[in-house]
Amino acid sequence: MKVQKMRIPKREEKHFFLFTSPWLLGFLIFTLYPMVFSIILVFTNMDMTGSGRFIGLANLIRAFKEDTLFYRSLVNTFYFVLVSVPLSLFAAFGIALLLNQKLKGVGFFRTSFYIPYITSGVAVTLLWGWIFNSQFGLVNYFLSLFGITGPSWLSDTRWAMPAIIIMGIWTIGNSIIITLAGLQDIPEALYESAEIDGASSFIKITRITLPLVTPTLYFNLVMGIIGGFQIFMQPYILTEGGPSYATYTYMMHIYNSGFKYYEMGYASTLAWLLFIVIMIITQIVNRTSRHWVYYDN
Amino acid sequence: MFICRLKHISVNPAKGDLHMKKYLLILFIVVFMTGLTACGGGNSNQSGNTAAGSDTATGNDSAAGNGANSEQEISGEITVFGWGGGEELQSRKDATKVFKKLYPKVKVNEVWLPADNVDVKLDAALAAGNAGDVIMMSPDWKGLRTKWFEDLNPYIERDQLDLEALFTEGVDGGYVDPDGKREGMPATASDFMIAYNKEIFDKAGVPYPTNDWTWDDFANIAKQVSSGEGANRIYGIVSHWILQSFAPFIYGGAPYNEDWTKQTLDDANTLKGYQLFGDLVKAKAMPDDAAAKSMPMDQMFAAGKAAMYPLGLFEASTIAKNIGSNFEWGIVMPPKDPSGKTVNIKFQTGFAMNKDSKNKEAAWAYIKTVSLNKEVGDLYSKVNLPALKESADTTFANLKIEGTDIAMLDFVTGLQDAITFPWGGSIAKAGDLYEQVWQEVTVQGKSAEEAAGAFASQIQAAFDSIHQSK
Repeated sequence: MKVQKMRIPKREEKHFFLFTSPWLLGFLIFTLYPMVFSIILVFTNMDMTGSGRFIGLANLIRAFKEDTLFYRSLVNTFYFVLVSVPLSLFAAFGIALLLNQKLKGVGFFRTSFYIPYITSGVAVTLLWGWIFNSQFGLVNYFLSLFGITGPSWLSDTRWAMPAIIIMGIWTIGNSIIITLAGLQDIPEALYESAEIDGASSFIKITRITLPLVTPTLYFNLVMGIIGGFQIFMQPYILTEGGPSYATYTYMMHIYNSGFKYYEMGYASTLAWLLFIVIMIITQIVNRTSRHWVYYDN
Repeated sequence: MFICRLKHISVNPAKGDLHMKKYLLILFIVVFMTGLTACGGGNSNQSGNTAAGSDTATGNDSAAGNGANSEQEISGEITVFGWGGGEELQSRKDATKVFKKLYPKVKVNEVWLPADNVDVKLDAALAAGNAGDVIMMSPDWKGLRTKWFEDLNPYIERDQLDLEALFTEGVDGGYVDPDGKREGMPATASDFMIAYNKEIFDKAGVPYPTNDWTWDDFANIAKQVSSGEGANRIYGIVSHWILQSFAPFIYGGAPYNEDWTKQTLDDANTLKGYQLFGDLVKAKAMPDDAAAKSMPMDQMFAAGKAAMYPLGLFEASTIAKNIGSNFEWGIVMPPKDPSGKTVNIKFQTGFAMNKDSKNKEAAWAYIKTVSLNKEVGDLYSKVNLPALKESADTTFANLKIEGTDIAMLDFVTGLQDAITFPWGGSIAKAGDLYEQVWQEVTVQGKSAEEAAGAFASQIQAAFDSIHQSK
C-alpha cells in the first residue's frame, strides 16, 4: 500500500530546522569537525601547539612496523575484552534472573547492584587499589581465611589485568538493569504453558528465557565490546599501564601519544585504527547475530 | 551515508528532501574545508600576543633596542602565565606586586593555573597566540617549547648583568640551550637532601651518615638499619619516585648524552646505578612495589617505618609536620659518586619571554625583577630556594625547616652539583621507557643488563624521534 505523505507547511519546516539546530550545531562543532580534523591529522606530525607538516602514511607505517607498544597495548586490550565482556554478560544475566523474582525487598537489591555503575569512577578506582593491596587489602584478607596467600595483584604482571577485569565486572549495574528489562518483557503465559507441560526451571531458562532475551544480550554484547576497547580509567589511575606494560591499554597509548608525548598526528592515527577495529568486530558480531539472536517477528 | 539516512525523516516530499540534503551537504563541505584550512603546516604561530600592550618606552620592542629603560619609562600591559598552588602561588603573586611597585605604569594580567593542568593549557594558549608575554617555564622541559621563547642573551648583555655573580650556584643550569640560546631566567629551585630517622639509626647501632658518604655507603647503611618482617618491616629507604632519577647518575653514569641524541643506558656505570636499587629491593632494604603501595612513602617515613627519605625542599615543611615529635631526625647531603661529586637532582622554575610579545621591554623588566630583585628573592625564600644569591645566602640559609632546628643551608650547598630533573618535556617519551627499566629492575627483579637489553633500542628510537620532528 502506497503511503501518502502529508504536505507540511513551510512554517513547520522552519520550525524543524530551528529546533534541531542546537543539536545539529553541537554535533557539527563538537563531533563532526573534530572527527574530520583528526582524519587530516593522521597524515601529519602535528603537535599540541598546531605546528606540523604533511608526512603521508608515515604514522600508519610507524604503528604497524615500528611501534612495539601498538601491538602490546592492542593485545592487552583484546585480553581485557575477551575476558571481561563474556564474564560481564554472564554475570549480568545471572544477577538479572535473580532480581526478576517477585520477592519483598528486591527493589533494594536492584538499587544496590546499580549503584556501582553511577558512583564516581576515580574515587571508586582508588578504593579498589586499596582493596587489592597485597598487604592490607580486603581481597587477600578474604583469601587468607581460606588459607590462600593472595598475589600482589597490582604489582604482578600476571594478576594486574585480572584485577582490572574484576573492577570492570563490579560496574555491570547498567547491563543488569537492561537485561532485567528484557526479562520482564517475556510474556508470563509462556512460562505458565511450560509449567503446565512439566518443564523444569532449567528448561524454562534455556528454552524460553535465554532465546527471548537474546536481543538484550546482543545489545549488551555490542556495548560491552565498544566500552571494553576503550578501557582507560582503571589502568591509568591504578597502575599507569604497569607493571611492565601488563595493563597498558590501547586508550592509554592514544592518550600518552597525544597528551604526554605531544604527537597529535600519531595519536589520531591510533584513534582511527581503534575505530576500524571496533567496527570490524561489531560487524562480525552483527553478522553472526542472525544465528543466535531471536526476535519475535 | 549520513545524508542518505535523512530520506527517512524528510518533512516535505520532493522539494523538501532535496532542500534538506543540499543544506546538510553544504554544511558537511564547510566543516571539511574548515578542517583542512585549520590544519596548519610549519609555523602556525600567531602574529602577536593579543594581551600585550604596546611598548611606549622605546617605540621598539627588539632586544637590542635603545639601551636599558628606567622604571619610569616602561609602561603598557603584559600578561604573565604560570602555575602554582598554596604558598608557592602566593609568593609568585607577591612577587608580581613588587614588580608593580617598581613599574607602576605597567599593567600586569596574571594567569595562574594548577600545576597538573599547565601543559595542555599552555600549549593551547601558545597555539592560539594568547599565552602571555611572560611565560613561566622550567629547564626540565628540555627545549620542548623553545621555539616560542625569545633569546634573552641580548637583554642580559645590554643590561650588563653578571649572572654568575648574581645567581645562587647551580640555579642557572639548563636555562641555556646547547646551541647557546638563553630560554629563560631562573626564579626558584628545589633540590633534595636525605632525611634520616636518628632513633632507627641509634637502635641499629649505625652512625649517622655524613656529607662525605658514597652510594656504596648508602646501600650498606640502608641494609644495616633495616629490620623486622612483613607489616612490621622497617626499611632502610622509602621507594621515593625521585630515586629513579638518581639511579643513572650515582656511579658517574648518565641516561643520555648532553644533546639528547644518544641513550647511554647500557653504559656500565649507568647500569650499576640501577642495579644498586634492584639489590636494595631484593635485600628488603627498600620496599618492593606491593609494600610501597601499602602506605604513602612520606607517611612510611613519618611513621618510623623507614630510616631514610629523599627529602625535596618542596615537601620539607609537610614532612616535618607529619613527623611532628614522633622522632628525632636530621638531613644530610645525598651521597657522592666515585669522582667525589654529590649526586643530586634539582627542579627549577623560571620565566621566559614570549617571542611574539608586543611589550618586550616590560616583559624583560618583569623577568629581571622576579629573578634578581632582593625583595622578591626574600619572598621566594619562604617556599623555595631563590635564584638570587644574595637572598639564598642570607634570608633562605638562615631559615630552618618548619618546627625543627634543621637549617636550610644544606639545600643551597646541595644545589651546586645538582642535575636538572632528567625526564621532562621533550624527553618524556624516553623517560617513560627509562621508568620501565626501573620497574624491570626494582619490581620484576631483573638485572639492569637484562632491562637495558630490552629497552635500549626503544629509548634510542624515542631520542631519534625528538630530533626528527624538529
